[in-house]
Amino acid sequence: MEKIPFYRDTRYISILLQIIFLVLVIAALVILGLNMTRSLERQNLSFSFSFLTGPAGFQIAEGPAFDPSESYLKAFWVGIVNTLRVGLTGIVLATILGFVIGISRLSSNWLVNRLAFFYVEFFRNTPLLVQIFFFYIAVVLQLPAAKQGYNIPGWFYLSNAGMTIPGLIPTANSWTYVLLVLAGVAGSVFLARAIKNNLVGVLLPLVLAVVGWLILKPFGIDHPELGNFRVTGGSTLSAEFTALLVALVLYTSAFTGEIVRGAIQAIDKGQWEASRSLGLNYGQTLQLIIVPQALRILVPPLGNQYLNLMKNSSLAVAIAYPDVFNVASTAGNQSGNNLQAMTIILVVYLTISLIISMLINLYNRSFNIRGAR
Amino acid sequence: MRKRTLALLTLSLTSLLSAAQADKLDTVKKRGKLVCGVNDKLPGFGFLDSNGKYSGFDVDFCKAVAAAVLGDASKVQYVPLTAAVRFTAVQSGEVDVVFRNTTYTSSRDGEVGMDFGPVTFYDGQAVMVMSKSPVKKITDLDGATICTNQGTTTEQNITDYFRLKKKQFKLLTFQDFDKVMAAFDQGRCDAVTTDASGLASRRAAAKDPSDYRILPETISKEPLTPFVAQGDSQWRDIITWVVYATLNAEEFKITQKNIDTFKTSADPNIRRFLGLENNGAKGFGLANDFAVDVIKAVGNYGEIYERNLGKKTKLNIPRGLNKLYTQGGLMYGVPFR
Repeated sequence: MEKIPFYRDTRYISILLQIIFLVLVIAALVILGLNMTRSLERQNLSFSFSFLTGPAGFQIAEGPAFDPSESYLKAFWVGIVNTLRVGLTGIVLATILGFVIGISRLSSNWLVNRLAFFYVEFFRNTPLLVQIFFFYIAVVLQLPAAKQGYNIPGWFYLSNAGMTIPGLIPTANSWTYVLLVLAGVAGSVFLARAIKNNLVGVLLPLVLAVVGWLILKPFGIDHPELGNFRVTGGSTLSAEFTALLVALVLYTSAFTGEIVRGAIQAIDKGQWEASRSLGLNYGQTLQLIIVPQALRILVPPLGNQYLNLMKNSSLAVAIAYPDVFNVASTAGNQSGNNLQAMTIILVVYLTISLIISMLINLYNRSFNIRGAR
Repeated sequence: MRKRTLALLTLSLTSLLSAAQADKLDTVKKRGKLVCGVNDKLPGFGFLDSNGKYSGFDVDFCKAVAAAVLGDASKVQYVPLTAAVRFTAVQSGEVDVVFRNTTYTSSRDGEVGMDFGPVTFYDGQAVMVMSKSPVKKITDLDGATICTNQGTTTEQNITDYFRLKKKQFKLLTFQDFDKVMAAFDQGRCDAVTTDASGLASRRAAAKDPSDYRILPETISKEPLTPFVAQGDSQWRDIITWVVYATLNAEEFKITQKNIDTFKTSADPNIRRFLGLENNGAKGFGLANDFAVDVIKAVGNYGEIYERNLGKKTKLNIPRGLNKLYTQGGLMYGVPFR
């Protein structure tokens, strides 16, 4: 029998194809790299990150306190904190809302079912950027300007600059107080279990917290004041943050809702029937039988949604919320280090995404092992 | 067979790399089109109208360069650039030159890797408020929220100004000025800031210009200048001399209409300007009579100014510093000699 030539032998072909592919990828990277180095050289530029230590010279509207005389590095840090602030809040809210939407989609109540359906179709099928602009320009900015805004003087202000409530000013006793309250809560829970009285577990920490507050005076209260142009003091939820958060949450929860619905529908019908035959009602069945099993199916795609939300938060640049992308493009532009700024952006998002992905995988694994025989 | 493929691959790779190195003049001539970066949202300077046509002061200079290099002012492909991406577009070679209200600064010339031509418009940063606002001068804006667009010198200028005056403010930066104006109109910003010419342009384009008031102070020098990628001095020379050609023409009182009557001029300065005698333009790769093409296409500096920003336009920006040096301004056409 004639020997099969190696280029027709499937054992070799698969390896060969992979080698060819690898070579092509490396070649492409080398070309891009050479191209970049050459054009930088041609323009007498160097790829260095030394600009990071120089003073930024621009202002950042919100986030951790930042002075224009501080370094670019600090500016990037403020941007990262702002990204995490909107991203993590968004993840929590989108998860909660997504579960509500997903379960509503399966509801036998016609109205609830239809509302959830329209919600999902609407938010899933319109671009996120448009939604962000919509919530910013057509909703949040339509609130009256700071001076004409809704308010309870000294306590609450709502205007198109955002919502301001009193803030807490930490004192020397703050940490002691927080630790004492945490210890108090743990103790009460332990006690409540021991004496089998849940009321104690709820009331005792409350009493402890109030008494502790009166004795230690752990926080001062920072009352917001209406200045000439805007509200100063207190803690503010800015218009930009609100619009971005709302858009991200609504958009992501539509996808999350579909994932939840899919996961629940993937559970065998027999589980419902068995549960019903044991005398459990709809809510109990969902809570005790269906959702725990559905979680196993929905956690990996849910993780993808978390990654999407985090990455989508970079659209903040469109509405002046100073997230890391916004700050980095300003920094790159002001200092002329666009390439470096882009590199930093890539590294930041990659790091955040990999961490989220790792946590989701860990959670998922713990689940599957518990579920395995 | 295999060797040939490899050789071909290597060849195409090297050509890919070297293509980026060819000089701009050849690239533009070969392409038959000038790729010019402009603003598309600043009426009077660079604006894309509803018919898809670009017009404005900066746009006319794109046409002038195309006329000089390709002999045809219509051979321009306009690329709208935001403030934030304009330098990257030049660094990456996406555009050949940018005429887009950009301030000439040392860091942009040095670290950002740009080469600048002559100033086409002397400007300064100003602040605009709503007419009904009680603010009289910039320091009255203590505690206010001010909006501008991202990646501009104005961000740092206004920050410096408030720091020097020891006043507080909040700065919101948007990627394009339309969003800045939207936030301003909704009352999210108490004031907007950018170059005085930009504010004048925005006010003129508004539904009711009397809604806005520009504060009297100018807080910075903003020499607006065309720029190209660093490292191609021939190409930069071309941009430079196209701009100077428009200034020289105004000094000689040569206009789009009367230029042909100067052919018989006995003045050697004018004869050199028109390329009737050698003027050195061949040294940077243009024909000696390139200025004739430029003036026939767009007119002299004064004509470009009047057409886009002058008294008969909505903007009506006084020429001020942009007058010829002979009339007390800063505009000075370097001699053709």
